[in-house]
Amino acid sequence: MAADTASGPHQNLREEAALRRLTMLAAGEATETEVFAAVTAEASDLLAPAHVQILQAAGREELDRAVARLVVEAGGPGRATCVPVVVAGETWGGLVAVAASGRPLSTSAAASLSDFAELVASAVAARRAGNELRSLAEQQGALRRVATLVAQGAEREQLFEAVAEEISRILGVKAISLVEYDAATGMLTQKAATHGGRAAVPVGGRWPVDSSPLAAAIVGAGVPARVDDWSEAPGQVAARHRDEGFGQAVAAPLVVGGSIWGYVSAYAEAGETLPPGCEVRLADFSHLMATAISNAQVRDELRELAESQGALRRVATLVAQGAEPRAVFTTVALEVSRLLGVGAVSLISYDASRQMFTKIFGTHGDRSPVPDGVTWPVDQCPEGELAIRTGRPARVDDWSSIPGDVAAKHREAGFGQALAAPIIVDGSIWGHMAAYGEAEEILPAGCEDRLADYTNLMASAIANAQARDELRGLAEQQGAALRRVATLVAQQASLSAIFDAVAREARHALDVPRVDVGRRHEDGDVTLLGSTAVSDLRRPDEFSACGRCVTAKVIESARAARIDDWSVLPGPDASAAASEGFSSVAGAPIMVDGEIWGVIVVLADKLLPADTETRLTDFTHLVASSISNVHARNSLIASRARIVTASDETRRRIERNLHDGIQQRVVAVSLSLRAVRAGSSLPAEARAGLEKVAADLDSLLEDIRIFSQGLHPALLSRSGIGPALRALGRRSPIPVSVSIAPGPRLSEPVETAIYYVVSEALANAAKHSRAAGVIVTLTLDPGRVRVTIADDGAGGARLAGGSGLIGLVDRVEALGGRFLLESPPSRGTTITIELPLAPDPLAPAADL
Amino acid sequence: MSLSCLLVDDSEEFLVSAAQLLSLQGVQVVGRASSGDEALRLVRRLSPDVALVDVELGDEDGIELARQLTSSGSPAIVILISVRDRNELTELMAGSGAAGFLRKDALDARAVTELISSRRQSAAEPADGR
Repeated sequence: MAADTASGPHQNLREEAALRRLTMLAAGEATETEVFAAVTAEASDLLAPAHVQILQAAGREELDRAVARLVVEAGGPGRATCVPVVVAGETWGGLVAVAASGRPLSTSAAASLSDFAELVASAVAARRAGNELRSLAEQQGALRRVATLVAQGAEREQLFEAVAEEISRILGVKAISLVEYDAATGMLTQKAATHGGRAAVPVGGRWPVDSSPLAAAIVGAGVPARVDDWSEAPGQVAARHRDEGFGQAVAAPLVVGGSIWGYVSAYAEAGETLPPGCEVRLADFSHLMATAISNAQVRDELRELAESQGALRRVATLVAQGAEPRAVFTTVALEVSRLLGVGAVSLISYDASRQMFTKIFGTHGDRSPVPDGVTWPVDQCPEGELAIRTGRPARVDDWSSIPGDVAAKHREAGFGQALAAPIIVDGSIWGHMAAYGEAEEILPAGCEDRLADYTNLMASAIANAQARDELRGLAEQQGAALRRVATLVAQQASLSAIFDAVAREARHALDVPRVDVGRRHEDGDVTLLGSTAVSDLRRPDEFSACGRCVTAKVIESARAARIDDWSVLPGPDASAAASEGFSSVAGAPIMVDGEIWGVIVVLADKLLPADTETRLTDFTHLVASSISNVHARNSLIASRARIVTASDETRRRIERNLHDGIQQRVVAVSLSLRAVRAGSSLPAEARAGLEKVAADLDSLLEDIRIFSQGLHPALLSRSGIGPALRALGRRSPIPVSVSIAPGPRLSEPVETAIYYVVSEALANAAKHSRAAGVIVTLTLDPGRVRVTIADDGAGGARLAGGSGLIGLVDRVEALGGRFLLESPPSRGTTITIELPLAPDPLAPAADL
Repeated sequence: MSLSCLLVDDSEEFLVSAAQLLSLQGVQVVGRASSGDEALRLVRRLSPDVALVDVELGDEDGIELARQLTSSGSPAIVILISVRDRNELTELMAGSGAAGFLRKDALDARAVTELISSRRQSAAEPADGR
């Protein structure tokens, strides 16, 4: 190892040493900024007197423009060169070398730069993957805090303030606004602003939507918007924005109950930019926040009703207290029955197809044509049919011609007119409430409207219960599920373990019988990677027919998809799928680096709820970030291994050249000299001079021999690790006992790593330990080799400082191994390394 | 009677200077070979007393050549030579059938003669330099 410093003129050795230091830095705790600073310092040092800098650019074009400018400033082509840094297939920026004045750029500068550029790319990718995981965890935490506020019945103002603050914290952006939009008037209201007095509009203030370019974009398109340049924006709001020193702004809509409720926006200081990916993260988070707002809104509506309509107060209070829906239904039915003075009131829910009705509760007692909990077809409920058709309250006067058992029983039980008011939850008909008059009784006009008041309340109660369930589902079940999976990812579990966990957790959170995780291959084939039903599959590597059908749909549209009706699908898969017994199947794409990497599929034996695809998306995000994380980790491991291997290759080449060239020639010269000494009768003076030259030559040969041995163990590949370690032991000035477990030859990188570690450890023992002896032991465990080097010397060795061990740690870790140093003062030093026998750092990624 | 010797090495410079030195010291250098095939052919034809064989013969393995020479029925004694230290090669040379090892810079007639006479004294035992 001493050769590292001795071979100063070798530029490539210096580059490898620099790359190795940087890789270790990047793999450790260093921040991106620290890594970048170290890269520019090392690369500048290597290419001196040229100066190296890192440019960050949004895409190739911007990079090319920046480089063109630099080339002009540097004095023309050949005076500056750039190697792009490509992360996830996109140009992230570039590494630029600019020649010092008066000196040309070295011809190998671009080649050297590209190694450093790869390292920067790895560091950026690794940091990104880590950030994604962290942001998921942060989002879950923020959502939980907001959900807690909602559950505690916080005031809306307080809730909005909390939402804005959580978003500010998650994005790391100081200025966040929460804005409500009134579609009827086209006015916006500032509901919360984390930037207080600097907000363009104070909290509670209103302004028209067309006076802000950001608001206009959001409300017009309903998708995240961005405004970079405010200099030309007209109007007072934009002027205030500029005057307060704000620049770039992004916003994401808050969609509540299917329409735009408002938006959240983030503002950068003038001249600065918002963090990368700000729009996407804002959009992700605003989706979750919309649910919280929706819940708060529902409760606010309930509260308003309770305050304005005394008769409904008891019910509304019940609902607001979060009473069981069944208790609410009973109370409502009894209240309505009493208030309207009708014979009976019933509450009826529909299935998703609105073909079947289920009676939830009725006040008929034993006069009821249909017992509670019974389901019957729509054509035997004329008032419900009418309510569905018109979407408005309906009245059926004449039952005499209505067919079916239910109508017959209605007549027999002595009921006459029927009123129904639809219960509309989130824009679609959930069911209806019906009131039945006695036979021959004419119910007063306006009864429908009063009924409708109650059904609005019922809708609120149902929406509230649903929103609460949804929130609880997200924040508790799914949050916990995602956290468990995220923990696995953070623990660097194998991908198959992660996929199995994702399938299991998704099955539990979504309450379906089966979840599959599929991998899409380049040939379009999809294979099963994780499933909650693998043991049920005859061929576990293949998807179910249902899975194939929905996957095809997902891949075709590149978005979540579902199939609820198999009868309309063409093709052989569809008939096979229909026979598998799943009635509703949904899938969502796992997007990695902009491509569909795979699909998560849920299979249910009943109709999946409408939000299934949305909830699946949380899992696909997690799987995608796991994969990105593994990608980044593998690429870092692979680049470390590549650097180590390349360095070994260089050392081997130099050793070979040294041996075949210089060493042989010096020996030949030395022998010739001895021939001269042996053959001639020289004057004593000349003989003494020759003796001196011969001694110098011997000493030179010895130096070359030591240098060459340190450079590369030339005969290791031929003799194997055992003989090579014994040879090291013989060279050591301290007695060394070497014990090698018998076994097959180890792979070359593993042997080389072991050789260097033992060599360095023995050199250290000789230099520092004052030990009487060293024991080197090599043992084989299944799949692993362990080597210990133990001396009985002074101890106190450290990895830091000039021990030369730190480079070995990197070499061992690059092969996926572990390095352990134990060196308590005065109790000897023991170094233990463990290496996998098949050091293929890409092995776990083979199925990626 | 002077000792007859075959030099086997892929370095021409070494062959020249070693032959020069050994000749001056009274050894009769009967041939030089730079490959295994050439060495086997010359041993058969010239029947030297000793063959000095480089451990690393270009891409060929000098130790394997030593094995072939000593098991070929030829009476030639084989001595392995290298610019490397004996320490690096001990295990590799085990069982090669060579009478011993000399570092190239320590090559001279007396060292060669000593290895040959010690081999002749213990003719039946393998000497692998361990």
